[in-house]
Amino acid sequence: MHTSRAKGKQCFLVLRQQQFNVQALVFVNDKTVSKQMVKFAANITKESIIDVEGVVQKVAQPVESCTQRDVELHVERVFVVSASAPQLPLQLDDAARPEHDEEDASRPRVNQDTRLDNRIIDLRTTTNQAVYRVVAGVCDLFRATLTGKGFVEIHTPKIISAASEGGANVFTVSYFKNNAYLAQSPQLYKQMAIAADFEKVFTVGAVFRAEDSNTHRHLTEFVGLDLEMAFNYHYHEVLDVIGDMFVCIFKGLRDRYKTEINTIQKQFPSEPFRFLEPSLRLEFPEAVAMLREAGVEIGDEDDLSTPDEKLLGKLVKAKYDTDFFILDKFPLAVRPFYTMPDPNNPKYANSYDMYMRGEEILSGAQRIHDPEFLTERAKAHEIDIEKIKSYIDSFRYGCPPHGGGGIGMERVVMLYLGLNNIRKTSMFPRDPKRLTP
Amino acid sequence: MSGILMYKAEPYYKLDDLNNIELPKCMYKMKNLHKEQSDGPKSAQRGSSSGSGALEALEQRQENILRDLDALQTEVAAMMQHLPASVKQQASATAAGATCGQAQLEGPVRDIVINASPSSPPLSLFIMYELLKQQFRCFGSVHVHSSVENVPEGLCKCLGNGIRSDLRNRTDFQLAITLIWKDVKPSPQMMMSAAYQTPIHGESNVARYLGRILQPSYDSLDPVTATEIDTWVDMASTQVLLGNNKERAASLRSLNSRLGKHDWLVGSGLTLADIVMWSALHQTGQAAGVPANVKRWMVACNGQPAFQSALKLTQS
Repeated sequence: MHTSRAKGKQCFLVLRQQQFNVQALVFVNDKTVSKQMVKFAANITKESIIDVEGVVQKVAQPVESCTQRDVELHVERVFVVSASAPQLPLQLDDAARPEHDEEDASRPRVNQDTRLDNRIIDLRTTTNQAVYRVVAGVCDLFRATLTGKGFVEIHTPKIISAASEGGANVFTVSYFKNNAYLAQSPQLYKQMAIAADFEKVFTVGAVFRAEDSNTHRHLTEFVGLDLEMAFNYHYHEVLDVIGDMFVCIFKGLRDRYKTEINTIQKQFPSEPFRFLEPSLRLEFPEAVAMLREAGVEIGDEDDLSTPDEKLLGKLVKAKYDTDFFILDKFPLAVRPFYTMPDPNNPKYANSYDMYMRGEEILSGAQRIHDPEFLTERAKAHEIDIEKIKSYIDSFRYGCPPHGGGGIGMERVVMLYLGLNNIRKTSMFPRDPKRLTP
Repeated sequence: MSGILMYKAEPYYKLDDLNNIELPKCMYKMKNLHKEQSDGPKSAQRGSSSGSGALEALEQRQENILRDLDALQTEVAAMMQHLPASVKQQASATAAGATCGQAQLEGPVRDIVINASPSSPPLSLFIMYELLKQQFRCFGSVHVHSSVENVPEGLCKCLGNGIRSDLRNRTDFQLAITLIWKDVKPSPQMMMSAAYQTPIHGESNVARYLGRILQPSYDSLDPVTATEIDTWVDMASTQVLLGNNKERAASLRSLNSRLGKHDWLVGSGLTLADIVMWSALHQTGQAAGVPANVKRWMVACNGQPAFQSALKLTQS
């Protein structure tokens, strides 16, 4: 039961089920409903679970406050299954109020921390019900699309003996008498699966980053959607697959989650997500040229800063009208040591990022599959060869050329829906300041 | 008037130092202005005595410049002999225009984005693309915008769809045409640079722009020819593409009378006017029932190699 409101001989209830609600009416009549019963109904605490028997009736005037506008329920019997405490830590109506509503500016909103502290009540809002259905939809579409393309889902260990990339930003956990680390990325294991002749693999699982950054888009634990595939002729085969996969996810969301997206738009209005099929693919020098044209000073081999990325997103949107694009051919200097250089131009790498609404969501590359070349590149980056010996050794027994990338699931949903904080798309978010609930 | 007293100020420049300044050699030599003033009446005498020497030096310089120019001219003439005929023609039209056009295409690939509605594909674009391919390293790619559904497969595959057989990088090309099927009414839009422009509307204007890339000298060409082309292009867009039946019939009549006396709409060869008009007639479904002279002209167009890909689209 969402709310109850008594008015003389009658009582209006709003009954809610997930994303939908309907008005119910208890009014005194000769046969079934007594005055006491109306009083009983009026005193049921908000958010209680109730069973109702009654007759569904058409209404003359649409009920504006409910999702089911053209009917209401005339109640004959009411049972309380599970009563809620009389005091709620936050009011659902406040939590569901549109963020930027001029008329409603004076009415209370619920701030982010109150929401997260009382997450189970906050999650009951129709908006949150819809958000986590979209979250499920993204994972479902990711799995279905890749399985359809011949990928195999694998599971990788999350407790590992050494830091997977570089070594910074890993959580240390005690492991019997020694220390172990929480996996920063399943990359090594994906690559090992490729070396083990699985050809195309993906994995969905938790990824940990011990970064002390309190921003709208960083979490210390998030769901990684990772894929890796061997290719035959050119690493653009990998880009084609990833680009196509995103188009399938966006199309699936657009077509199958219309209701959910509309519900979310009511509370958090944003421009509908736009994309191109096939995905737009630009190259780094083009991006640099676009940014320079817009007055940004940037060198040929500089990495893009966060504001640059945002601006680039805006420029691309203005020119191509797409919120998603692939940026290929990053400078070799700004990419990790295992990135394959471009055979035609040593300044650049076979490496790419993908952006949604001007924020990076995927970073990937063709990986070096030759142990000698990998050693050489690691030395060029001044990395201790001993520490990454096991990584290099996994390519000693033959490994096909391969490439891939990792996607932050929460970020994809946040940006698809145009939400302003990643905590809105993580059911129980973990950040440097929050370990509960 | 003569007796006005003035404050006397020391000269700001130390004039003796001026002789020691090293001047760049690319400048004309001039006498020191300050020096002459300070020297007073004496300088006039000295000027006249050294006058003949200065004149000789000037003559010598002019001779040198003329010789350099002659050398350049013979060099260019020698280069012209190695070029194919078509380029030679253009280059001679306006050499300056051509070089500046080429210079614009330096640097990373120049991407021209064209949004068009799949219900009326701008056929002239495909013809212009074929022509551009002959002059520049260019490639095309076709995308479907998320706001439209069910675009026919033939339209998604035109322009080669970004597939480059040699797997070169985008930045190895000079020109890219990105065609996006999108619900734009009533006519296609073109974007070059989001920072500098608002969209350019209309198929004819897109064709005009691409025509100027093909031939940067377009505007400095014979003004009468350029205006004639503009007139036909305008007629194609306002009276045929966007016009009503009456206007369409009227433009067909003027087409027929022009083509009764000439093979092409302007001049003695294919121009932008033919391309845009051909496209407009096909898009409005009039290609089949045209009068005899127009019919003959359309057959001539259909025979041009550049029209083949567009022709295939009209048949599918």
